[in-house]
Amino acid sequence: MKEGGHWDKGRQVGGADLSVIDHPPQVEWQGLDRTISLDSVDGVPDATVERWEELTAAERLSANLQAYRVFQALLGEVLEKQRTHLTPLDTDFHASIQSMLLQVTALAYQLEELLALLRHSEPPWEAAGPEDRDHRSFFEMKLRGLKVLQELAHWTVRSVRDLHQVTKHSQGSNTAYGGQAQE
Amino acid sequence: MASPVLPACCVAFAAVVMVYAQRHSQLDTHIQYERLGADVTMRCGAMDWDAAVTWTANGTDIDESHLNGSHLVLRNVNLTHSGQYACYEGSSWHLKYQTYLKVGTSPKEPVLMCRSNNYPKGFYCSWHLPTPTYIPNAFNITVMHGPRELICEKDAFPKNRCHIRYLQLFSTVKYKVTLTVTNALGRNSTTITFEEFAIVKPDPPENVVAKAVANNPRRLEVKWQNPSSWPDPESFPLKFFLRYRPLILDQWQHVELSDGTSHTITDAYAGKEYIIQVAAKDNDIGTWSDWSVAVHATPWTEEPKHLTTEAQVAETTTAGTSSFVPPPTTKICDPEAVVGSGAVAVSWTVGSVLAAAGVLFI
Repeated sequence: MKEGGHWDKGRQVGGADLSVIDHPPQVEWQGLDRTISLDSVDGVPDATVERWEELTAAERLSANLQAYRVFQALLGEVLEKQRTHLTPLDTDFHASIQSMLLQVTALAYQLEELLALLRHSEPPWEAAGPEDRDHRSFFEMKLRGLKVLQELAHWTVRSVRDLHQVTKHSQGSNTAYGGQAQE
Repeated sequence: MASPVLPACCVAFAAVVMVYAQRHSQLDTHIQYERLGADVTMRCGAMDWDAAVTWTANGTDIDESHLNGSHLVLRNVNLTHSGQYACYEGSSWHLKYQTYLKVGTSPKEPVLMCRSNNYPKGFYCSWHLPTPTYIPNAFNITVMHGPRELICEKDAFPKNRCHIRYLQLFSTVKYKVTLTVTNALGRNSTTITFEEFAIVKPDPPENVVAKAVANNPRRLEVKWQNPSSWPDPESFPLKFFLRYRPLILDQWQHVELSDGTSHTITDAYAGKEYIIQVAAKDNDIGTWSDWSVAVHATPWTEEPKHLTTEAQVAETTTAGTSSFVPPPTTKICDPEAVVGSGAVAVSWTVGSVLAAAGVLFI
């Protein structure tokens, strides 16, 4: 948009989420390129979903919870790599990741509460993903960090929509649920 | 007894009809495509080079200066050379060759764009050629999502558009769309790749209405509706951008609104006619829509001047279908919150997820 504020200029992709991968600290500053393929990075929860509209509230909440549980571990790993190897002096960046980690933890907690509130069972803790390999090259560490942030960004976009859907459906069945709760 | 004159007349008439039919026969016509600017040589069927022939273009005889023996030579052809060409044997007027010449160009690289104005249902791609070719073109489009080919359903009209349904959502896998254009003189193609979120661009807000506020000379109430093409504004909420200026000034004022479909301008100049437009964008992804249709309004004055909006007709047709809620709190978006830091940007979004989750606890 021509007069839409300077934060949109030249950002065809727009949106808060993708600025993560656009942003110099993760992409250019670390010597990466936006066109780089992240397909080889595994173990990061994929936000992709088919027949999204047909998911039940329980399926939505479980999928979200499982993803954010993994992101807690992955963000911790990214933070550690940045501190130890990649950007030891960039404390602001570390603080940002730390802040994100705290919010992801809080979100996971809220999702657990929601599942309980709506009387759905919690998904089991999944076995830990591939062990973090200490022998990863710096380049692989950077790629992994970028992949984690990229998928997290997509998950946050998805989660807002998932929670809207859950709200919509729970409001639809609110009367019945409320009646049960009062009994 | 019948007169012998009558059969003789019939035979002569039949002969005339035959000759006429031969001269105007369409049976052997084929189409010959040639490039603009080319030199074109046509042979008169199997006739020898030194045979006496007559060439016609759209039924008119062609001057002999264009002939090289029995060959017709057209130099540096342009669009006016397009037409039906025929060659007749000199003495018998037997049709020996006939062609329809079409002058044109090979296609340049087509312009292709894809956009989702009905997220999360799907997206469409449309295309056009940067310059005309003057001859028929065939377009073929291929849409890939990773290794998967998606169906692009073509519209009956316009013909240069097709629609793709999203089979997956929230995917980081890129879409790759290739459009190939082919005509008799050549082919060209263009390929674009994009991410799902990047092409989300709603249509502009609809039914924008602006009106004065009684007894308040500095206020204008503006309201609008979500674009009707946006399928689920409840789960995929839009935010809005409003711009307004008095007609006498060039400088727009802007306000971004994170929710609601109305806003009250409180700093209008008394008595000045304003022009107002609204744009929409998904809350988190994609780009801003184009601006809505402009509406005009003038703040209240003691002796009311002409209070008008261009959308008054729309207002009357939609009256009663939308409630005019109190204006939302104006939120001036802080650009730094979006571009300040990659990590912060995620935090900001996570924050909105937390807020959404919080709603469920209320």
